[in-house]
Amino acid sequence: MKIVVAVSGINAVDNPGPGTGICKALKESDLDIRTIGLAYDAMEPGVYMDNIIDKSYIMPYPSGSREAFIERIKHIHSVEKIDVIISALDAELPIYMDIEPVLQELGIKMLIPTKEMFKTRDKLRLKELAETIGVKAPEYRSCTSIRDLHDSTENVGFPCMVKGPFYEAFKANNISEAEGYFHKIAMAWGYPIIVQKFITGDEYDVIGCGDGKGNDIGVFAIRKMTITKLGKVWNAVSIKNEKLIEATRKVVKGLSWRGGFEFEVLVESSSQDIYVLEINPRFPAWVYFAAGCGINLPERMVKLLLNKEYETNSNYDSGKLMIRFTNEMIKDIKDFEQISTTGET
Amino acid sequence: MKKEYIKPYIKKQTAGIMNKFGVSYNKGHREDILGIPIGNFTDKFGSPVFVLSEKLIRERYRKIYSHFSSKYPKAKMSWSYKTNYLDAVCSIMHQEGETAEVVSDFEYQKARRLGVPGNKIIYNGPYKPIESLKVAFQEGAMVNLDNFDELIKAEDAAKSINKKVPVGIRVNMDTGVYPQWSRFGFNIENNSAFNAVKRIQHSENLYLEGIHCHIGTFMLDPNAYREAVKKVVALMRKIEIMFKINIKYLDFGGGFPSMNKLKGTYLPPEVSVPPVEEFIDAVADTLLEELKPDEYPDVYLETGRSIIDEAGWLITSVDAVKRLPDGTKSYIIDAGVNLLYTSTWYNYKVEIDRELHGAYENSVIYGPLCMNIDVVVESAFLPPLPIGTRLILSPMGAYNVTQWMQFIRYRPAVAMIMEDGSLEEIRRPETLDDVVGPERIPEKLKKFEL
Amino acid sequence: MDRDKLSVLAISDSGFIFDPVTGHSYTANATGLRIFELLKEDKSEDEIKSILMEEFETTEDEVSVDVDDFIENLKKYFLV
Ligand SMILES: Cc1ncc(COP(=O)(O)O)c(C=O)c1O
Repeated sequence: MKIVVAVSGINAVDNPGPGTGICKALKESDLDIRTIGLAYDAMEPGVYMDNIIDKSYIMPYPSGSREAFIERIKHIHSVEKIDVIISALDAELPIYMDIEPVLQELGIKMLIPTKEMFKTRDKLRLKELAETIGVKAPEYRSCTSIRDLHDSTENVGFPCMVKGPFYEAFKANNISEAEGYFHKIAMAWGYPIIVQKFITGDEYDVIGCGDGKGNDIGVFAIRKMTITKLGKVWNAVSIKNEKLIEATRKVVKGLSWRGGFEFEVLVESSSQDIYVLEINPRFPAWVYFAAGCGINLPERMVKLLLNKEYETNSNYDSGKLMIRFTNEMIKDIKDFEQISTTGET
Repeated sequence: MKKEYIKPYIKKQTAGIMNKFGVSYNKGHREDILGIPIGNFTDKFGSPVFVLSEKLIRERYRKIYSHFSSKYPKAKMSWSYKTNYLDAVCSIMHQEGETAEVVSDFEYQKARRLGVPGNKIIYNGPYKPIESLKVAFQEGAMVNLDNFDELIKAEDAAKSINKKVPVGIRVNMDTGVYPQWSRFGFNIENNSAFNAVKRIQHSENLYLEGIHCHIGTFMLDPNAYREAVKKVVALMRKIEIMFKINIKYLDFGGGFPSMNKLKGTYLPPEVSVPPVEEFIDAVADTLLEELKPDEYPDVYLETGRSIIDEAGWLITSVDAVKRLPDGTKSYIIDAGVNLLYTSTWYNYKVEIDRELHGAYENSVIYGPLCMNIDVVVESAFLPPLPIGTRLILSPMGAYNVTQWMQFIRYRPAVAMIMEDGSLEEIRRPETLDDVVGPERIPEKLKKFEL
Repeated sequence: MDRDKLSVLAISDSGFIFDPVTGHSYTANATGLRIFELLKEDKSEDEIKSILMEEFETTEDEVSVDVDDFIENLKKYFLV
């Protein structure tokens, strides 16, 4: 029998979700997996990638009602008999954390953080967290009004980063740019908006997965080589940096982290100090990079959840390159009709 | 046989904007409130009509109080009048044992009229006229002072009735939440709270008995209360040691959120609003950590919206349907922002009174006022609504029937579903006499011919 | 009313409508599709209204408002 894994975030667009990478990793694993895409829009590219995603369904927005969300999953489950859901979007994680007990009763498993862990990694509390693991956190303020923004930027100085509660980060060089980003982010994602000190240095990322008991089931570190305007990794190289890995493991241990994560840090050029920028409570969009180098975290996660044996090593080669590229698929308007009128492929 | 008619519909598909599965909508309709058909309310009381449930108010109060009192031995609660000061509502709260928390001389008088003894009233707020302070001191109310000028006023009031009276101070502090409510009370961090106490203790007519704070409303992070408790207890310690006095009460105000969807938040309230127990735990656990048993003061909560918001609904009727020039569907209903002050902050839940077929679309709901700002719900996902459809908007229990205003229309009835399921009108609809009663026409303006 | 454009639309029973000239797509419900058919058959607006009244359980007032609204929408989308 095939293992059925539903994956969200199959929006492989200019601000990509990790869903298609997760599905690709699952298809390349030694498990026999049927992948189900959970999309929020008929134009999410994953919906049309039938080579890696066997079937897709449209989901109601997590900003809607909790009941509608559960109902939709129940419907999909009645057809597909889902074994595991891998949630891959920040904005939907709170609702999954909330309904995990309901899913468990249905026999659907998830490896996601608890509400407590989720809160601790909150951008507003990074400072405390950084202290406990012995690294630094950039100066930041949270704002809910333009007045807050003015006060905060005065405090933090320019240039600064203006960040949303879930997504998006922009570098602002002056107050009018900051105001522009403030409104733009608030319109889409609400409050609070975070203003963070800008630090010159190199950005590094570590991907990993915690078992919920303080251990990781594999970590993989990269240096971002090029990033897009939206701040997304475009090209990256794998690295072996003990200091970084050690800091990551302290986070996993300290929070007993449960589930995938991306640990984003910045190493200041002048001082070589490590600054925590963010801990994303899910796999990053470049999750396939790790899988391609032998650290197949989605596969390990599914095996852990289904009580199968899984690897925990982090043996990979440094100096592997990830080249992201753009590509086109040709589909028929019928495919679009199908998903937009029935809500499934 | 003719087929069932469903209103015709066509919609352009726009990528990036959600289709019908992606949008939040409430497919459900509700034909009743707690078992009573929607039509019963409007037949009996007209439309629109506010509805409150005695049962839900009591249940929610008991849940909060029993959780609080099971954790902290000297737990007390005081009903925040401004949240909803209809007599019937206050009476429920007083039957349950809550004292009255008022923030104006009007509210003070309303509580007294209802039969609340002066010494069961907490008198808060940034403006207390001297006459009302005299009455409050005379009747033994718990008065929490807001600023230095008021402190001097309180001294004068006490002197004029030849008494030395107990007072509390309202304090504010940084609890890590924004915006910080720093305009009420004395600030702890810059020492003005301590200086106020010094001033009170040197006064011949005042002495300190309590510390009050209210860190904000609709707080989404329980940790803010942890911070508040820590800072207030630290202040209490410092005061008790310096002045060798005993603080009788601490009061942590209100501010717990309800299941309303705050504008500007992305997640649904079921997910983003922590359960009320987490807030009570934040207060009670921190108190137990910070205090020794022999020094437990009385601790008050003035919880407002969290108790009553979800026990209230507004039933309103669709009066007209209009398609705006930009193609948006719009409805005009018989209740506007004159009754729904809270529509400024909330995206209410909108339910319809019957099952309706037809394609859902994003619609805007306007009130009946001849004013551009009269938008009740900016975007509700609704099937085509025939004229006369009743909409049930919720939660409505908090702050509407106090902040509503009489503007071009009468304020409607407020009904209460009693515990036994019977219906009572707890405020009748206003009449012309109610509105013009206080008016007077100067003699020379009395006559005109048209 | 210019109905030439209607004949090129690809209308499927699911209610999905594709305009091969502009590349836009639309969704309509069954009543909407029925109006499309009648428009294509060159029925006048009044004829459409009375046919719908014969076929469906509805009133003259309701149909009249709805058909006008529907055709307004088609004009807005430049389909007629
Ligand atoms: C002093 C005081 N106490 C209590 C409340 C009740 O607050 P809530 O309804 O947020 O619980 C308020 C409301 O603003 C208040 O100002």
